[in-house]
Amino acid sequence: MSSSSASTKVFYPEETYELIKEPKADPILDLLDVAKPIAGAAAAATVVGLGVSYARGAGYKRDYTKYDPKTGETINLGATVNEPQTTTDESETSTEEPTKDGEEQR
Amino acid sequence: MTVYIKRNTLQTRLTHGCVAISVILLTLSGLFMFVPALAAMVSADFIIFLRNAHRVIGLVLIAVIVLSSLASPKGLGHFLKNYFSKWDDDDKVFAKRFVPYMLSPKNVDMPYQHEVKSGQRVVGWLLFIMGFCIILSGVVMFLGTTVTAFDASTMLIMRLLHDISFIVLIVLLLAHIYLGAGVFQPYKGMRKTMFGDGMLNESDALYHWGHWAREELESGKNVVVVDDGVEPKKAQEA
Repeated sequence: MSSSSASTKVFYPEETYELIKEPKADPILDLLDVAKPIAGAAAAATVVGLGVSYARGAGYKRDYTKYDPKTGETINLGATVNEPQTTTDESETSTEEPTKDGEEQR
Repeated sequence: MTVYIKRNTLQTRLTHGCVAISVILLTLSGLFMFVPALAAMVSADFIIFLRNAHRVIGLVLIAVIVLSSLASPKGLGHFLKNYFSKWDDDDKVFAKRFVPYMLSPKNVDMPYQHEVKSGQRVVGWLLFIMGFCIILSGVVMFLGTTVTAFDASTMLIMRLLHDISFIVLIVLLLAHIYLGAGVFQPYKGMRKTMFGDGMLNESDALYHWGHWAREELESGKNVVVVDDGVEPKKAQEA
Protein backbone atom coordinates (compact mmCIF):
# COMPACT_ATOMS: atom_id res chain seq x y z
CA MET A 1 0.00 0.00 0.00
CA SER A 2 1.41 3.39 -0.90
CA SER A 3 2.17 5.99 1.73
CA SER A 4 -0.64 8.21 0.50
CA SER A 5 -3.28 5.55 1.13
CA ALA A 6 -5.26 5.65 4.35
CA SER A 7 -6.22 2.54 6.32
CA THR A 8 -9.27 2.31 8.49
CA LYS A 9 -9.96 -0.17 11.26
CA VAL A 10 -13.48 -1.54 11.29
CA PHE A 11 -15.23 -2.79 14.42
CA TYR A 12 -16.85 -5.89 12.93
CA PRO A 13 -15.24 -8.26 10.41
CA GLU A 14 -14.91 -6.79 6.87
CA GLU A 15 -17.51 -9.21 5.48
CA THR A 16 -20.14 -7.50 7.61
CA TYR A 17 -19.68 -4.34 5.58
CA GLU A 18 -19.28 -6.26 2.28
CA LEU A 19 -15.68 -5.07 2.15
CA ILE A 20 -12.85 -7.02 0.58
CA LYS A 21 -10.31 -8.32 3.06
CA GLU A 22 -6.80 -7.04 2.28
CA PRO A 23 -7.71 -5.32 -0.98
CA LYS A 24 -5.01 -5.00 -3.63
CA ALA A 25 -4.77 -2.57 -6.50
CA ASP A 26 -5.58 -4.06 -9.91
CA PRO A 27 -2.34 -4.46 -11.96
CA ILE A 28 -4.17 -2.77 -14.88
CA LEU A 29 -3.74 0.48 -12.94
CA ASP A 30 0.03 0.13 -13.36
CA LEU A 31 -0.45 -0.37 -17.11
CA LEU A 32 -2.62 2.73 -17.24
CA ASP A 33 0.18 4.72 -15.62
CA VAL A 34 2.65 3.39 -18.19
CA ALA A 35 0.31 4.33 -21.06
CA LYS A 36 0.80 8.06 -20.50
CA PRO A 37 4.58 8.25 -21.00
CA ILE A 38 4.29 5.76 -23.88
CA ALA A 39 1.74 8.00 -25.60
CA GLY A 40 3.97 11.02 -25.11
CA ALA A 41 7.05 9.20 -26.39
CA ALA A 42 5.17 7.78 -29.41
CA ALA A 43 3.78 11.21 -30.34
CA ALA A 44 7.19 12.86 -29.90
CA ALA A 45 8.95 10.16 -31.95
CA THR A 46 6.36 10.54 -34.72
CA VAL A 47 6.78 14.32 -34.79
CA VAL A 48 10.57 13.96 -34.92
CA GLY A 49 10.33 11.35 -37.70
CA LEU A 50 7.98 13.53 -39.74
CA GLY A 51 10.26 16.50 -39.12
CA VAL A 52 13.20 14.57 -40.55
CA SER A 53 11.02 13.57 -43.52
CA TYR A 54 10.05 17.22 -44.07
CA ALA A 55 13.65 18.41 -43.91
CA ARG A 56 14.81 15.68 -46.31
CA GLY A 57 12.02 16.55 -48.76
CA ALA A 58 12.68 20.29 -48.78
CA GLY A 59 12.97 21.66 -52.30
CA TYR A 60 11.29 18.64 -53.88
CA LYS A 61 9.88 19.27 -57.34
CA ARG A 62 8.63 17.01 -60.08
CA ASP A 63 7.78 17.22 -63.74
CA TYR A 64 4.29 17.97 -64.96
CA THR A 65 2.84 15.00 -66.79
CA LYS A 66 -0.12 14.32 -69.00
CA TYR A 67 -1.71 11.06 -70.09
CA ASP A 68 -2.79 10.41 -73.63
CA PRO A 69 -5.66 7.89 -73.45
CA LYS A 70 -5.45 7.26 -77.22
CA THR A 71 -1.85 6.06 -77.17
CA GLY A 72 -1.71 4.97 -73.54
CA GLU A 73 1.43 7.01 -72.98
CA THR A 74 2.34 9.33 -70.17
CA ILE A 75 3.93 12.49 -71.53
CA ASN A 76 6.45 14.48 -69.56
CA LEU A 77 5.88 18.18 -70.23
CA GLY A 78 9.13 19.18 -68.63
CA ALA A 79 7.66 21.48 -66.02
CA THR A 80 8.57 21.05 -62.41
CA VAL A 81 5.63 22.39 -60.50
CA ASN A 82 2.85 20.55 -58.72
CA GLU A 83 0.17 22.79 -60.17
CA PRO A 84 -0.07 24.81 -63.38
CA GLN A 85 1.28 28.33 -63.02
CA THR A 86 -0.82 31.36 -63.88
CA THR A 87 1.18 32.59 -66.82
CA THR A 88 0.68 32.72 -70.55
CA ASP A 89 4.00 34.40 -71.21
CA GLU A 90 5.49 32.67 -74.26
CA SER A 91 9.01 33.24 -73.03
CA GLU A 92 8.28 31.28 -69.89
CA THR A 93 6.63 28.37 -71.67
CA SER A 94 8.68 25.27 -72.18
CA THR A 95 10.36 25.02 -75.55
CA GLU A 96 11.56 21.51 -74.89
CA GLU A 97 9.99 18.69 -76.81
CA PRO A 98 7.74 16.66 -74.55
CA THR A 99 9.32 13.37 -73.64
CA LYS A 100 7.32 10.20 -73.45
CA ASP A 101 8.04 8.16 -70.44
CA GLY A 102 6.10 6.23 -67.96
CA GLU A 103 8.42 5.14 -65.26
CA GLU A 104 11.55 7.18 -64.76
CA GLN A 105 9.88 10.54 -64.20
CA ARG A 106 7.84 9.31 -61.28
CA MET B 1 -6.27 24.28 -70.03
CA THR B 2 -6.03 22.03 -67.02
CA VAL B 3 -7.42 18.53 -66.72
CA TYR B 4 -8.74 17.55 -63.30
CA ILE B 5 -10.05 14.27 -61.94
CA LYS B 6 -12.82 14.34 -59.39
CA ARG B 7 -11.64 12.13 -56.54
CA ASN B 8 -14.02 12.70 -53.64
CA THR B 9 -17.76 13.44 -53.65
CA LEU B 10 -19.30 16.21 -51.56
CA GLN B 11 -20.69 13.62 -49.14
CA THR B 12 -17.26 12.04 -48.66
CA ARG B 13 -15.71 15.44 -48.03
CA LEU B 14 -18.44 16.48 -45.59
CA THR B 15 -18.16 13.18 -43.72
CA HIS B 16 -14.38 13.49 -43.58
CA GLY B 17 -14.69 17.10 -42.37
CA CYS B 18 -17.12 16.17 -39.58
CA VAL B 19 -14.97 13.22 -38.54
CA ALA B 20 -11.82 15.38 -38.58
CA ILE B 21 -13.39 18.10 -36.40
CA SER B 22 -14.83 15.48 -34.02
CA VAL B 23 -11.49 13.68 -33.69
CA ILE B 24 -9.62 16.93 -33.00
CA LEU B 25 -12.15 17.94 -30.33
CA LEU B 26 -12.13 14.44 -28.83
CA THR B 27 -8.34 14.47 -28.68
CA LEU B 28 -8.22 17.89 -27.01
CA SER B 29 -10.93 17.11 -24.46
CA GLY B 30 -9.53 13.60 -23.88
CA LEU B 31 -6.04 14.95 -23.19
CA PHE B 32 -7.36 16.81 -20.12
CA MET B 33 -8.59 13.50 -18.72
CA PHE B 34 -5.54 11.53 -19.87
CA VAL B 35 -2.82 13.89 -18.60
CA PRO B 36 -3.21 14.77 -14.89
CA ALA B 37 -0.92 17.80 -15.25
CA LEU B 38 -3.34 19.32 -17.77
CA ALA B 39 -6.33 18.56 -15.55
CA ALA B 40 -4.60 20.31 -12.64
CA MET B 41 -4.35 23.50 -14.70
CA VAL B 42 -8.12 23.96 -14.96
CA SER B 43 -11.07 23.95 -12.57
CA ALA B 44 -13.06 20.86 -11.61
CA ASP B 45 -16.15 22.34 -13.30
CA PHE B 46 -14.25 22.70 -16.55
CA ILE B 47 -13.11 19.08 -16.35
CA ILE B 48 -16.73 18.00 -15.85
CA PHE B 49 -17.71 20.11 -18.86
CA LEU B 50 -14.94 18.50 -20.95
CA ARG B 51 -15.96 15.02 -19.81
CA ASN B 52 -19.55 15.62 -20.89
CA ALA B 53 -18.46 17.31 -24.12
CA HIS B 54 -16.17 14.34 -24.86
CA ARG B 55 -19.15 12.00 -24.60
CA VAL B 56 -21.45 14.14 -26.73
CA ILE B 57 -18.80 14.61 -29.45
CA GLY B 58 -18.15 10.87 -29.40
CA LEU B 59 -21.85 10.24 -30.05
CA VAL B 60 -21.81 12.81 -32.87
CA LEU B 61 -18.83 11.01 -34.43
CA ILE B 62 -20.64 7.65 -34.31
CA ALA B 63 -23.82 9.23 -35.73
CA VAL B 64 -21.93 10.85 -38.63
CA ILE B 65 -20.24 7.57 -39.60
CA VAL B 66 -23.47 5.54 -39.37
CA LEU B 67 -25.62 8.12 -41.19
CA SER B 68 -23.07 8.61 -43.97
CA SER B 69 -22.83 4.86 -44.48
CA LEU B 70 -26.63 4.53 -44.59
CA ALA B 71 -27.00 7.50 -46.94
CA SER B 72 -24.67 5.99 -49.50
CA PRO B 73 -24.48 2.19 -49.33
CA LYS B 74 -23.02 2.22 -52.85
CA GLY B 75 -20.22 4.51 -51.68
CA LEU B 76 -19.63 2.29 -48.65
CA GLY B 77 -19.42 -0.75 -50.93
CA HIS B 78 -16.93 1.05 -53.19
CA PHE B 79 -14.90 2.04 -50.12
CA LEU B 80 -14.81 -1.52 -48.76
CA LYS B 81 -13.99 -2.96 -52.19
CA ASN B 82 -10.93 -0.71 -52.39
CA TYR B 83 -9.76 -1.69 -48.92
CA PHE B 84 -10.33 -5.43 -49.46
CA SER B 85 -8.72 -5.58 -52.89
CA LYS B 86 -5.81 -7.95 -53.38
CA TRP B 87 -2.31 -6.51 -53.53
CA ASP B 88 -0.51 -6.63 -56.87
CA ASP B 89 3.25 -6.30 -57.45
CA ASP B 90 3.08 -2.49 -57.52
CA ASP B 91 1.33 -2.51 -54.16
CA LYS B 92 4.07 -4.65 -52.64
CA VAL B 93 6.83 -2.46 -54.10
CA PHE B 94 5.06 0.65 -52.81
CA ALA B 95 4.88 -0.76 -49.27
CA LYS B 96 8.54 -1.82 -49.42
CA ARG B 97 9.74 1.59 -50.58
CA PHE B 98 7.45 3.72 -48.43
CA VAL B 99 9.77 4.44 -45.49
CA PRO B 100 12.83 5.17 -47.70
CA TYR B 101 10.55 7.39 -49.82
CA MET B 102 9.33 9.31 -46.77
CA LEU B 103 12.92 9.94 -45.74
CA SER B 104 14.26 10.71 -49.21
CA PRO B 105 11.48 11.53 -51.68
CA LYS B 106 13.92 13.02 -54.20
CA ASN B 107 15.77 9.75 -54.61
CA VAL B 108 13.07 7.09 -54.43
CA ASP B 109 10.64 6.40 -57.28
CA MET B 110 7.29 4.97 -56.37
CA PRO B 111 5.26 2.62 -58.57
CA TYR B 112 1.83 3.42 -59.99
CA GLN B 113 -1.01 2.82 -57.57
CA HIS B 114 -4.71 2.02 -57.73
CA GLU B 115 -7.45 4.21 -56.26
CA VAL B 116 -6.24 3.42 -52.74
CA LYS B 117 -2.50 2.93 -52.25
CA SER B 118 -1.32 -0.17 -50.44
CA GLY B 119 0.02 2.03 -47.63
CA GLN B 120 -3.34 3.77 -47.42
CA ARG B 121 -5.00 0.38 -47.09
CA VAL B 122 -2.74 -0.65 -44.19
CA VAL B 123 -3.32 2.67 -42.39
CA GLY B 124 -7.02 2.52 -43.22
CA TRP B 125 -7.40 -0.88 -41.61
CA LEU B 126 -5.40 0.14 -38.56
CA LEU B 127 -7.55 3.26 -38.25
CA PHE B 128 -10.68 1.16 -38.60
CA ILE B 129 -9.62 -1.41 -35.98
CA MET B 130 -8.30 1.14 -33.50
CA GLY B 131 -11.26 3.44 -34.17
CA PHE B 132 -13.62 0.55 -33.44
CA CYS B 133 -11.74 -0.26 -30.19
CA ILE B 134 -11.74 3.33 -28.96
CA ILE B 135 -15.44 3.82 -29.81
CA LEU B 136 -16.44 0.48 -28.23
CA SER B 137 -14.48 1.13 -25.02
CA GLY B 138 -15.77 4.70 -24.91
CA VAL B 139 -19.38 3.58 -25.26
CA VAL B 140 -18.95 0.90 -22.54
CA MET B 141 -17.38 3.45 -20.16
CA PHE B 142 -20.15 5.94 -21.00
CA LEU B 143 -22.90 3.40 -20.34
CA GLY B 144 -21.11 2.06 -17.26
CA THR B 145 -21.15 5.45 -15.61
CA THR B 146 -24.65 6.50 -16.66
CA VAL B 147 -27.39 3.99 -17.40
CA THR B 148 -25.85 0.86 -15.87
CA ALA B 149 -22.92 -0.33 -13.80
CA PHE B 150 -20.18 -2.71 -14.89
CA ASP B 151 -17.71 -4.30 -12.50
CA ALA B 152 -14.46 -2.47 -11.79
CA SER B 153 -12.31 -4.88 -13.82
CA THR B 154 -14.43 -4.40 -16.96
CA MET B 155 -14.18 -0.63 -16.61
CA LEU B 156 -10.42 -0.81 -16.12
CA ILE B 157 -9.96 -3.07 -19.17
CA MET B 158 -12.06 -0.66 -21.23
CA ARG B 159 -9.97 2.26 -20.00
CA LEU B 160 -6.79 0.42 -20.94
CA LEU B 161 -8.22 -0.41 -24.39
CA HIS B 162 -9.21 3.25 -24.80
CA ASP B 163 -5.67 4.38 -23.91
CA ILE B 164 -3.90 1.83 -26.15
CA SER B 165 -6.16 2.73 -29.09
CA PHE B 166 -5.43 6.41 -28.45
CA ILE B 167 -1.66 5.81 -28.55
CA VAL B 168 -1.87 4.01 -31.91
CA LEU B 169 -4.37 6.52 -33.31
CA ILE B 170 -2.33 9.57 -32.36
CA VAL B 171 0.67 8.21 -34.30
CA LEU B 172 -1.46 7.30 -37.34
CA LEU B 173 -3.34 10.59 -37.29
CA LEU B 174 -0.18 12.70 -37.07
CA ALA B 175 1.16 10.85 -40.13
CA HIS B 176 -2.22 11.14 -41.87
CA ILE B 177 -2.31 14.92 -41.30
CA TYR B 178 1.30 15.27 -42.47
CA LEU B 179 0.54 13.52 -45.75
CA GLY B 180 -3.09 14.51 -46.28
CA ALA B 181 -2.56 18.20 -45.59
CA GLY B 182 0.31 18.21 -48.06
CA VAL B 183 3.00 19.17 -45.54
CA PHE B 184 5.16 16.44 -47.10
CA GLN B 185 6.35 18.16 -50.29
CA PRO B 186 5.45 15.42 -52.80
CA TYR B 187 1.90 15.51 -51.39
CA LYS B 188 1.49 19.26 -51.85
CA GLY B 189 -2.00 20.09 -53.11
CA MET B 190 -3.49 16.91 -51.66
CA ARG B 191 -5.47 18.93 -49.10
CA LYS B 192 -7.91 20.07 -51.83
CA THR B 193 -9.14 16.53 -52.44
CA MET B 194 -10.78 16.55 -48.99
CA PHE B 195 -11.01 20.18 -47.92
CA GLY B 196 -11.38 21.81 -51.33
CA ASP B 197 -13.40 20.89 -54.41
CA GLY B 198 -12.42 17.23 -54.25
CA MET B 199 -10.44 17.42 -57.48
CA LEU B 200 -6.84 16.76 -58.36
CA ASN B 201 -5.02 17.84 -61.51
CA GLU B 202 -4.09 15.00 -63.84
CA SER B 203 -0.35 15.31 -63.22
CA ASP B 204 -0.73 14.87 -59.46
CA ALA B 205 -3.30 12.12 -59.99
CA LEU B 206 -0.90 10.27 -62.30
CA TYR B 207 1.88 10.65 -59.76
CA HIS B 208 -0.05 9.45 -56.73
CA TRP B 209 -2.51 6.94 -58.15
CA GLY B 210 -1.19 6.16 -61.65
CA HIS B 211 -3.35 3.11 -62.41
CA TRP B 212 -6.51 4.83 -61.14
CA ALA B 213 -5.75 8.10 -62.97
CA ARG B 214 -5.24 6.27 -66.26
CA GLU B 215 -8.54 4.42 -65.85
CA GLU B 216 -10.35 7.66 -65.03
CA LEU B 217 -8.79 9.56 -67.94
CA GLU B 218 -9.66 6.72 -70.32
CA SER B 219 -13.27 6.52 -69.16
CA GLY B 220 -13.63 10.31 -68.88
CA LYS B 221 -16.36 9.79 -66.28
CA ASN B 222 -14.89 11.93 -63.50
CA VAL B 223 -12.70 14.10 -65.71
CA VAL B 224 -13.19 17.87 -65.67
CA VAL B 225 -11.40 20.06 -68.21
CA VAL B 226 -11.04 23.68 -67.13
CA ASP B 227 -10.21 26.11 -69.90
CA ASP B 228 -8.31 28.52 -67.66
CA GLY B 229 -5.78 29.66 -70.24
CA VAL B 230 -3.11 28.16 -68.06
CA GLU B 231 -0.30 26.03 -69.33
CA PRO B 232 2.34 24.28 -67.27
CA LYS B 233 5.31 26.55 -66.76
CA LYS B 234 8.84 25.53 -67.51
CA ALA B 235 11.02 25.14 -64.48
CA GLN B 236 13.19 28.05 -63.52
CA GLU B 237 16.77 27.08 -64.10
CA ALA B 238 18.72 27.05 -60.88
